[in-house]
Amino acid sequence: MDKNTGKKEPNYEGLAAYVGITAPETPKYLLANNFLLDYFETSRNVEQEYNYAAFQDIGTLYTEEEKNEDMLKSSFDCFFRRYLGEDSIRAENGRLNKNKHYYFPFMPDMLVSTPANLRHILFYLQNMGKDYDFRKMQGLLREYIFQDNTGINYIIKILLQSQEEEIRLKKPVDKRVCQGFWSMLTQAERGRMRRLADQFNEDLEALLTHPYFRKLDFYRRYNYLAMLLTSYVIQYIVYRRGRNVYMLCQGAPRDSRLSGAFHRASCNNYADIRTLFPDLLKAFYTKTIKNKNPKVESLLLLDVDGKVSVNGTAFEEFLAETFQSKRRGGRKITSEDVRKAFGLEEGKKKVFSVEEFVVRYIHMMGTRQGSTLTKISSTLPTSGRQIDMVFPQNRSNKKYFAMSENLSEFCIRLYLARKGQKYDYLDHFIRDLQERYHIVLVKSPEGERALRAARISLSAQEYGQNKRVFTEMLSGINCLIKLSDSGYVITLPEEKGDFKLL
Amino acid sequence: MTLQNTIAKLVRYCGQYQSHGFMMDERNTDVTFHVELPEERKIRDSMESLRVILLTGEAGDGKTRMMRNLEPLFTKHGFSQIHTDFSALKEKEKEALIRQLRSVLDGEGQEKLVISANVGIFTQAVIRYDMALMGELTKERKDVHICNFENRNLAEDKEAFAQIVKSFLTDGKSEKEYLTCTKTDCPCYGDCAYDINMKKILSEVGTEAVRVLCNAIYLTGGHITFRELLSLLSYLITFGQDCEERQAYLERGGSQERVLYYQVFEKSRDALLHKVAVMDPALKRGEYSPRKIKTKEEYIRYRRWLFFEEGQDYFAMLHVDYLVEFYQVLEYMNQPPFHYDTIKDRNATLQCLKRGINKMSSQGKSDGGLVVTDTPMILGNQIRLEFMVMQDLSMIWHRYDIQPGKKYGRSSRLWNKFYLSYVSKKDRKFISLLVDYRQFRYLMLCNDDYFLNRNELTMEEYAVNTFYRKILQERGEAYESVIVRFEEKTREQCDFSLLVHESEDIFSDEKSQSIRIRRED
Repeated sequence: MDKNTGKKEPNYEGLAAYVGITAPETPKYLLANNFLLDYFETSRNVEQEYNYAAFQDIGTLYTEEEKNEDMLKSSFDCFFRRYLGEDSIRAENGRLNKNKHYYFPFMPDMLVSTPANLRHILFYLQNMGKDYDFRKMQGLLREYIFQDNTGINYIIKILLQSQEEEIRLKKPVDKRVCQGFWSMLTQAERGRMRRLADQFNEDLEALLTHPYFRKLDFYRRYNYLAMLLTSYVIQYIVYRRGRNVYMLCQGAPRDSRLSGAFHRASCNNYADIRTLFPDLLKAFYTKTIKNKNPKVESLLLLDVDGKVSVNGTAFEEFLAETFQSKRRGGRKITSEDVRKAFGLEEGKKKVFSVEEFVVRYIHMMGTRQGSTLTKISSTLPTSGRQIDMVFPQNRSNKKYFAMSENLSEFCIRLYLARKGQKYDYLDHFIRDLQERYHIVLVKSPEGERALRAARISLSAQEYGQNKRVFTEMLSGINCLIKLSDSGYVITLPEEKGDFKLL
Repeated sequence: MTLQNTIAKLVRYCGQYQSHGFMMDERNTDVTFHVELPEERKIRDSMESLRVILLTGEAGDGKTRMMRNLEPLFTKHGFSQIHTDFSALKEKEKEALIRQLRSVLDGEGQEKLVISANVGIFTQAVIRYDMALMGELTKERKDVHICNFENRNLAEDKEAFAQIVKSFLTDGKSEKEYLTCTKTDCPCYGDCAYDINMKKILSEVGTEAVRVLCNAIYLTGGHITFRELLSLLSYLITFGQDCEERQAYLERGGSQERVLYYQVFEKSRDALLHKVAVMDPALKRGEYSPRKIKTKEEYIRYRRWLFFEEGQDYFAMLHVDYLVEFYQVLEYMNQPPFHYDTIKDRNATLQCLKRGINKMSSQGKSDGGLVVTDTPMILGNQIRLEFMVMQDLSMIWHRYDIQPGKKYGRSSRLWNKFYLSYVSKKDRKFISLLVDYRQFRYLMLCNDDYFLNRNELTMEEYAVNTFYRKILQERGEAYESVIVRFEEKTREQCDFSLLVHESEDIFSDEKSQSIRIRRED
């Protein structure tokens, strides 16, 4: 709160507001669920369970085999839990409320409210776009998600028929709220985000309208929507990291041919992108201290009688006043922690510049479990794992970006949908990945320049090997047509048979 | 012409010869060796009606040579623009040429064009500058001749192949001329491997064995360029050594037996020889061998040697899974009526393929009725959705190049792939699954219960899934009834079906829909 006016300080919600995200939203289906909740109202009955008994009560399911009914009930419930997505959503997020039921949104009333860890970042990003139209997007999402009766959905819709209600639409947000959300960005960052916003809106519109997506069954459509949304969380991180930041991507998640220099380079590249979070934290804390204490150039820390003070204020109090942080459980910061982090000695004082104070403070907080930094930073690996883009998918420190089968097929689908083509030359696709999504797979002057800034340099052979691995992987997922030793065309598995070679 | 001269000439064509790389020009201008290939003959015969001739293929396929042979004829028939190397053109020139090609095909331009191009680079330019041109070029047109050498099988025509071998190895000379050796001081005089190899490869049985090797490469989806064929023939005779090198090799203690024709199956890093080595008959297990053979080396030599002897079942001897079956099916597809109903047809291999498809989507299933499955990935491998109206769905196996509504005769060429197709009820178009060697082998392996342990779908499985999905999209009503099958059931579970039930209240005329559930196992 602003002390003078008593009103809530605009756009000031601490560190998370400065970074734009609090923590990842997993699984990706919940992220999609939350995104849809920016356009549609949430379910009114989150405890409603859809199962054999419920459908019998509704009157949409019946059997003539009473003696087998127990078996049928058990089998149907097992199938339906999995089919409506509850099993897979719960399997990937153990913290979900046990009293609620989380389903794929076959109908609007299946949307469930969950914590918006990403702080509606994708929605606000959309709002930044040049030609963004809330109502249009709402209409497209409505058609894409809810108005489909084809495929196996036909049976599901009959089972759920009496549960379907009028879709309750949300209203667009005030422009000032959106501007407020992005107030933490510098002018240059805002320009970059606007470009990203336009790109996001363009991609989303292609996905929501093109038959390459629209003609698929509900599961594939919903999965692709979730993938696109998650990929833009990663894009946001990359764009926020800097203007010329690129992801050096391995051509396949695991290939021994890339285990040498390319692997090291891609791990370094990932680590470099990940430094966004400590950098943002450092900038945030420094800025906050300087804002609160404009005249202070340095901070004096004194350790007397086991109590540490900063410029005469108790350490904890100083933090609470400056960062307005609320402590939520977890281990308390002890004087011993502070002493260790700042190298203090009993009865002696020490002076730190604001920047140095911040670095030591972050280090101290970072070593404690469940710190803000840990949660925010985990957005990158967790989102990457959700769309099979960051590997290895364990707790290993050395992670790297790679193009998996699922992700590559999705990228090709989206690329061809955007272009309105059935097929295109592989090199055009690879160039598009680099120019549009900052995904570097092959050697190019621009990519080289960008990676050199992160002190990454690779030979043409290593890039060549990566391209070969990528090509083989695309061939394995039926998205590639070989024309000659050097010429390949990308297409979709379902369109591959229609491509006629000369 | 002596044997030494013959070898000196032949060895230049061998990729293993140390000076091979420097002799490109020399080989290209070698006018003594000339064989008119069927493609060349076809162009000569239809020259009158052609406006566009497009030759595509890999380096070494013989495009340049053919262009050179036909050049006088091109000039005579008014082909004003002859582009011998599309790849060498600048980007703007490529664009201009594509536009010109479009104008000629649309009947606006009056020029006659000949273009020789690497198929990849040409397609890239077409995609970039005029995407729709691809469709235009793949239509059958009388005024356009497209010759893609990559689809060509040099070993298809027995006579043409024999003519290439003979013409290349003998240069039209008599045996006395090309086999006479004047180097009487040579240590292998009278027992020369060159002599043995020449005689064997030129014999009917030897030529046929080489043809089978090339044919097997084509059938399994590979491609041998004209240059590679000559290199292979040259290797079979010389093993990449000229007379001097051979003498030095023998003096170093090299074995004469290691350079005999049948050792072509020896492991090699060379891409071409590797294609041959992987088919080595000696790698085939459980084959009969005479009692006199005691050691592994003797067995290897015996099996390789036997392949070049008379009366062999060549395809069966090669170490290539299901090659005999694949060849038989391709032959079967090339017999009238060129298409076979999947339910009625009793061809044993096709029955196995059907079972393979079913077993692939449902391990353990053993009957021959084709069942269409489409299980969302979210259900994993534990639950499977089968569509009841699609059981025993009528489909056809058919030859690669036939389309509905047209009549076809026996094709002069044997395609190395065929289709399994469902005929769309809406527009009579085919929804097809391409069965090439790779797909065929995979399905046959499934039929024989070899299932690969893996996490992701294989390319072959993707192909079948996509095929099914296309059929399901076409047949919307398929989704009105579905069987849910569990791979592993607990005691409390059973397979069940869900069926849409429509009812009408005769008093109020109200219609309603519900789902009937029934046990199915």
